[in-house]
Amino acid sequence: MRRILEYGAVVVIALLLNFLLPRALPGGPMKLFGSPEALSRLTEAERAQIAQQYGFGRPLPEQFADYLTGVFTLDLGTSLSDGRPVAEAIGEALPWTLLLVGTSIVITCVLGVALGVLGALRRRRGGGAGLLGTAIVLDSLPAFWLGMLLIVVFGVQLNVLPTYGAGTLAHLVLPVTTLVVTGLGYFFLYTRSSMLTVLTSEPVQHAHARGVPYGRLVRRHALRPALLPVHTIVLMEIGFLAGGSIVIETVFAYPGLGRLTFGAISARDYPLMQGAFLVLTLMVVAMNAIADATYPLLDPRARQ
Amino acid sequence: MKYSAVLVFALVATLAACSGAPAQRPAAQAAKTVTIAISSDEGTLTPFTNESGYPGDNLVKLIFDTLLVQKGESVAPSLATAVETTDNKVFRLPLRTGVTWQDGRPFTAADVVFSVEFYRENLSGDSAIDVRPIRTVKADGDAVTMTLAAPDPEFPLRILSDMAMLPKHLWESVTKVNEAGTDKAIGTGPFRLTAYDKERGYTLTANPGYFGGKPKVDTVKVNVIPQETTQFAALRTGEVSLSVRNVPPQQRASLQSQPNIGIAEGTEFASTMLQFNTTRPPFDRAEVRRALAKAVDVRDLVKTALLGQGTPGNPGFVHPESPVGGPALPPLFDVEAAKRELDALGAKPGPGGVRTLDGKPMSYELLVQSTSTDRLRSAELIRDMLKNVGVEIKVTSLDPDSLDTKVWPDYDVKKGRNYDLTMWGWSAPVMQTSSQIVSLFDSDPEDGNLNIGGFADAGVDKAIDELKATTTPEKRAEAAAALQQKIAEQLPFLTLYYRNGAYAYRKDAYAGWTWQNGLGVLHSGSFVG
Amino acid sequence: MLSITGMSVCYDGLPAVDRVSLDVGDGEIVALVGESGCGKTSLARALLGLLPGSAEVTGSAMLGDDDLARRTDWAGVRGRKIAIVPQGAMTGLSPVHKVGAQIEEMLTLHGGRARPGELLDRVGLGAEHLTCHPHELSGGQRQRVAIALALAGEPSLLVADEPTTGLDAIVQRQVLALLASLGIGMLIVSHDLAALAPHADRVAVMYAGRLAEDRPKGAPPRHPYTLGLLTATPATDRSIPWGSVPGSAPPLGQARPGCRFAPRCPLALDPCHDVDPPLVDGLACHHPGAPVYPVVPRSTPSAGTAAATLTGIRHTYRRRGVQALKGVDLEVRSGEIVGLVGESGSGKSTLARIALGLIKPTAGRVVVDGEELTGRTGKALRLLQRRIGFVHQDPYDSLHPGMRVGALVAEPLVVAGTPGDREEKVLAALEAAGLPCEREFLRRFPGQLSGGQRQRVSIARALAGEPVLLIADEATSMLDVSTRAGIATTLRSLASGRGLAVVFVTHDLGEAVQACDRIVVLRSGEIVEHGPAADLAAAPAHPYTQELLK
Repeated sequence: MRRILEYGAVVVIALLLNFLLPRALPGGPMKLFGSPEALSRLTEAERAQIAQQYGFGRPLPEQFADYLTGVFTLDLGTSLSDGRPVAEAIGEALPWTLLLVGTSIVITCVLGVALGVLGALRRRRGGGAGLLGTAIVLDSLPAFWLGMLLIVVFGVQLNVLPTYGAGTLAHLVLPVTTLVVTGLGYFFLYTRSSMLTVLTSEPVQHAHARGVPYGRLVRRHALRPALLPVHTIVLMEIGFLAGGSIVIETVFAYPGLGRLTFGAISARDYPLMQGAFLVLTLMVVAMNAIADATYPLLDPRARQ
Repeated sequence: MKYSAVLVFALVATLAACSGAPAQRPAAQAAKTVTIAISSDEGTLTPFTNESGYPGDNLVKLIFDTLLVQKGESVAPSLATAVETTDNKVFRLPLRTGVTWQDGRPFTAADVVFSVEFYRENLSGDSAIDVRPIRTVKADGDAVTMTLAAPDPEFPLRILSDMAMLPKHLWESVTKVNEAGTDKAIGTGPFRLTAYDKERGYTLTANPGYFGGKPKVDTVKVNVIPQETTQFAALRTGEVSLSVRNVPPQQRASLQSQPNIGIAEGTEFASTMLQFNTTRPPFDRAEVRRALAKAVDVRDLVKTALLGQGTPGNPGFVHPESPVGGPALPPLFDVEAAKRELDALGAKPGPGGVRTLDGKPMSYELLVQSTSTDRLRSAELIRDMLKNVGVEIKVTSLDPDSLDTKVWPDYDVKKGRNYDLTMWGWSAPVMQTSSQIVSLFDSDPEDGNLNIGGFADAGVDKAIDELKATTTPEKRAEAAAALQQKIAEQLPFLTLYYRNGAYAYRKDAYAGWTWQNGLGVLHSGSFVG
Repeated sequence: MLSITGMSVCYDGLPAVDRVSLDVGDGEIVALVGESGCGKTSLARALLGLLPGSAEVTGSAMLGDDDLARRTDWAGVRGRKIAIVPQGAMTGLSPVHKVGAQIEEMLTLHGGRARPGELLDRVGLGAEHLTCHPHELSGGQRQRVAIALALAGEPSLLVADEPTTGLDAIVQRQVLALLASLGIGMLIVSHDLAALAPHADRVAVMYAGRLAEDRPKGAPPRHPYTLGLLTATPATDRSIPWGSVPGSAPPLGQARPGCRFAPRCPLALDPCHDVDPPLVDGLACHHPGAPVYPVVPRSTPSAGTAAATLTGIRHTYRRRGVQALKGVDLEVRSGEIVGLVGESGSGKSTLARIALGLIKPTAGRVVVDGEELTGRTGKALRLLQRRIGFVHQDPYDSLHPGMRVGALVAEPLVVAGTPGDREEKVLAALEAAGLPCEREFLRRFPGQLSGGQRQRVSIARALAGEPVLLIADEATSMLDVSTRAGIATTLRSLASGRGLAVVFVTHDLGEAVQACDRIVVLRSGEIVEHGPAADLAAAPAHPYTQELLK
C-alpha cells in the first residue's frame, strides 16, 4: 500500500515536470500555425484567438487540470501540429518502438550477460582481456556514428540491407545491430563486475571449499546471485528505452516513439510532448515496480 | 554530432572512392514510381496542415492548383485562363471549364469565391494566404472578379499564383483548420493523395484526368528521413530518387561523381544577412552600419563558407534574378574606406587594437544559429574581417528557438528585440514581390512586420509610400529600384549571399526535373507537360 | 590418521608455515591455536588445497595413503575424505538456496548416505529448518548448518577454521560442545586457547609459522608463549590477573633467526636469539618456565563527578520496528570505567551511539559534562560532541589509510580550530595512549602499524580533543588476545591519571570484570544487572549473568 502511494507520488511529480518543463523552453507552439513571416502579420487578437482555440493560451493551472483529467480519463488531447489524437499518434508509434527496443534488449541482454560471465571466468586469460577491451570500445562508440557506418557499409557499399524505414525484418537489422553493439558494453561490464564480486564472495568460496566442482560452482552458486543486480538494470533499461532511441530512430528514419517525441519537442507540440513523456514516465515507473515486485522471487533475502 | 557528421562524410567519401563504378543506366524521362525523401512530416498535405513552406507547400501544390502559376519571372494560366485588368485594382479571371475535383465534383467559380472567403476567416497555416488586400470577390458565370483595396500590379504573382483553390463542398464544414484530415486533401492538381501514414509516408497517385495532361510519373512516394546523411545514403542505393535537401557544398563533388546521380541546380531567393539591431547604439547610425558593412567581403564568404555555391549579396537586398528585379548595385567591400570612415566617426583604436566609439569599446555580440553550418562559418569569417578594422565581435551560437526569442520575440516586431548583431535569413517568398520587401523596412510595425532590426528612416518610408502608390508594373519596378538604392545607403542589414539550390536525384529513376526559380524542382512542371 | 611432516607454506618465497609436523589420530580432536598471522589458517587450508596460486606447499600431509600436500586434483577428496567448516561459515552459506537443497547438494556430490533431516538432527537442528533460507536462521544455527554440510560427505577428518568467531559467548560454548561430540577426527583452528582447551584431546600452539608446543589434554602448559596466551585471556574471576604479552608478532617474512618468540619473551637468553629450538617432547623452548607478564592494574573506586548521565533512554528503530532500548539509565563518573556488557542485539551499541549523539533516542535525556546533549542539533551538538572521545571496534577501517599518524591524531584539533603548537599536543596524546613519543612515528601510515598500535592511535586521536568521556566500542575485540590487556591498561591509566570517564562496551564479560570498576549487563534493551565489577563477578544475581559467567 505504502509502495503504491510512493509510485503514485512519483507519477504525479513526473506529470508536473512533464507539464512545466516543455513550457519553460524558449519559443512556443505558435510556429505550428504558420511560417514566421505569416505569423508576423497576425494581430494580437488573432494570435490570442488561435492560442485560445487550441488550448495553449489558457492559464497554466487550468491547462494542468485539463491535462490531469485527460490522463485519468485516457484522453490525451490532440496534437497541435496535425490535429490527430495524441493517443492515436502514440498508439501507432509505440509498437514500432517496442519491436525495435524489445528485440535489441533481448539480444543485448543475452549476449551481454553471456559474454560478461565469460569475461569474468576468463579474466586472467587473453580472451578475457580482449573481451574487456572490446566492450570498453563498444561502450564508448557514438550510436550516431556507428549507425551511419553500418548504413554506408551494408546499405551503400554491399547494398544488402535497406538504409532507412521500417516494415520488414530486413529494415530491423541495422537499427537493432546499432542498439545492440552500443548497448552491449554496459551489460557486459556490469555482468562481468557483478560476477567477479560474486566469485570471490564467501558463499562461493565456501562452496568451493566444500568440494563443489567448478562448473557447478559457476552455474548453481555464482550465476544467480551475480544476475540479481543485472535483473534490475535490464528492467530499468527497458523502461528508459521504451521512450525510443531518438538518435537511432532519427538516423534510420524509423517511425517510433523517439522520433515522435523529438518532433514534438522541436515543434513545441505540448499535448504530444506530454503524451510521449507520460508513456516514458509510466514505463519507467512500471519497470521499477516490476523490478521491485520480482526481486524477492530471485532473492529470498528480500522476502518479508 | 557535428564531428560525427564530418567523420561520416569522410567515411562515405572514402568508401565511395574505392568502390568500383556501377554501370551507368540511361536517364529516365518517365517513371512508374518516384520516391522523394523529405526531412520531417508534413501533416495531411492540405494548405492548412503542412508544416513547412519548403517542401511542404510544394507538395501541397502537387495536389491543389492555383488560379495562375509562376513561369519564369511572370505568371501563366492555370485554373484561370487569363487575367483581365485595366487598373491593376479590379481583376477579372475567366476560369477553365470542364475541370473536376479529384473526387469527381466539378470545379466552379463558387469554389474560388469560397476559397478567398475561407482564407479570410482562417489566417493560420503555412500555405494559408493573406487575402486581406482583396476587398471583394464575385462570381459571374465561368469567371470571378476580384476587387482590391488598392491597385497592385504584383497581385497575380503574389496572391493568385500562390492561393490554392479549395473544394467548397469539402471545406465548408471545417472549423478547426489544423485538424483537417487527408479526406480534405482533395484538389484539382496532377496528383491525388492516396495513402498517408506516419510510418511509411505519403503516396501520391497520378490524376489521369488532370487538365494539364497526364503526369509522366504514375506514383510519387514521399518518405520522411530526418537525417541528411541517411537521405544521401538512400539516394546512393537508389532507395530514394530525389532528396529535397540542398546538397551541402562539401558533399557535392562526391555525389556528382556517382554515375546515376544527377544534380539539378539553379538560383534560389532565400537570403542570408548580417542583421543590425538599429534600435541599439551605435547601430542606430547609418554611418556606423555603412562603415562596418564595408569591412565585410561578401565574395569571400561565398567562396569560403559556400565553396562558391552561391551568389554574393546585393546591398539592396534583392537577388538580381528575382521577379522584383532592379539593377545589381555595386559591392560595398572596401577595407580602407571602412577604416577611414571609422576614423572620421572619431572611433580611435584603443587597447588591444579595439576602437572606442563614444567612450565605449567597439565590441559586440554576434548571434548565430547553431544548426546552420554555413552561417556559423560566415559568422567566424565576419568576426575576422571586422577585427581587421578594429571592431571586436564575440560569436554566440544558439539553438534557433532561443535565437528567435532574442531577435524576434513571438514573431512580433512590436515586442522589441535584445541583441547587437545576428546572422539571419529570409525565405524565398520574401523577395518574390516588392510589396513583400517593404515589410522589411517600413517603420510602422503594422506594415513593417518583418522589420526585426527596428529600422526607421523617413527617406525609406517615403520611398515605400511612393512604391505602394504605383499602379503599373513598370512604375513599380522603378520605385523598387529606387527603394533598393536607399537600402544600400541605409543598410538596416547587410545582405551577405543567396545560396544556390542544388538537389540530387537518381537519373535512372526519373530525370524530368525542371528548375523553376523560386520553387526549385518540386513543382507540377516537373511532372506535367 | 592425518600425519603432517615438515610442512611449509610459502607465499612468494616467504614462509607463513615453517616446517610444521603434527598428527591427528582417529577420532582425535586437535586444537591448533595461535594469533592472527601465525600460519594456522594457511596450514589448515593447505590440507584441502585451498591456498591461492601464489602459495607453495612443501613437506607432506598423509591422510591414510594419500599425500594431501602433493595433490592437485581434489575431486573425491575435498568434502569426502577431508571436509572443512570454513572461517566465517555463518556468512558463507548460499543465500539463494534453502538449507535442505544445500545439504542435498553435498549428499549428492559426495555420495553421502544420510538423509538431510538426520544430518540436521546430528548438529542439533530440526527437520523444520530444511525449508529455511540461511537468512532466516541465527548465527549459531547457520554455524550448525555449515557443520552439517561438512559432515554430509562422511569425511574421516574435519577441519574447523575459527568455528566460534562472531558468535555470542554462550553460543560459542554450544558450538564447541557440538563439535567435540561428533566423534570424528578433527583439527580445530582457533585463536581462543582457553575456550578450546577443555574440548581438545591435544593442543598445538603456533607462533610465527612455527609450532611452539604440542601437548596432550591435561598436561600443564610449558611454553612462555602459551602461558602468555593464557594470562591474556581474561578470567571472570577478579583474583586471576589479566596480563598481556608486550610487542607484537613479526609480520610475514620478518622473523629473525633463533626462537621466534624470543623478542617478546621475558625469559629469553642469548641462545634463544640465535638457535631455533627444535620441538622436543612436544615443546620448542630453550628455557621453559613461568614468565612474568605485565597485568592490568586494579582500580580504586572513584569519587568523581558525573561525566555523563543517561536517563530513561528508549529507542525504537522505526524502519525495522525493533525496540532496541526499553528504558535504560546509566551514569558514568569521571575517573571511572563502566563496562557495558551484552550479546549482539542487546542494545549496547545503540546506547553507545546515543551517548555519542549519533542517534536521537525516541525518549530519554543524555547529559554530558553537565550539558544536555539530546535536543541539540547542528553546531551546538558538534560543540558538545567534541567533549566525547570515541574508539571504534575496527582498527583497520577506522583510520584513513592515506593519512599519516600525525595528521590523524591532530584531526580533532584542526576541527576545533585549536591554536598553538599542535605537534606538542599530538605527541602528548600519543604518549598517553602508550605509543612511542617520537616524531618519526608521526610520519607513519596506518598500514605500517600493528592492530594494537592502530587502536592506540584511535585512542590518541580521541584524547587530542581532551574529552571528559571516552566511549570504547568493542575496542579490543578485533585485536590479538595477547595485546588486549595492554589496551585495557592504557584505558585504566587514563581514567585514574586524567580522571577520564570511560564507557567500555564489550561482549566479553571476562574483559569487563577485569578492566572495569562497574559493570552494566544489558539484554534485549534492558539492564538485567549492574554493580561493582568485583561484586557482580563474585555473586551474580541474575540467571543471565550467571550463564555468561559459566
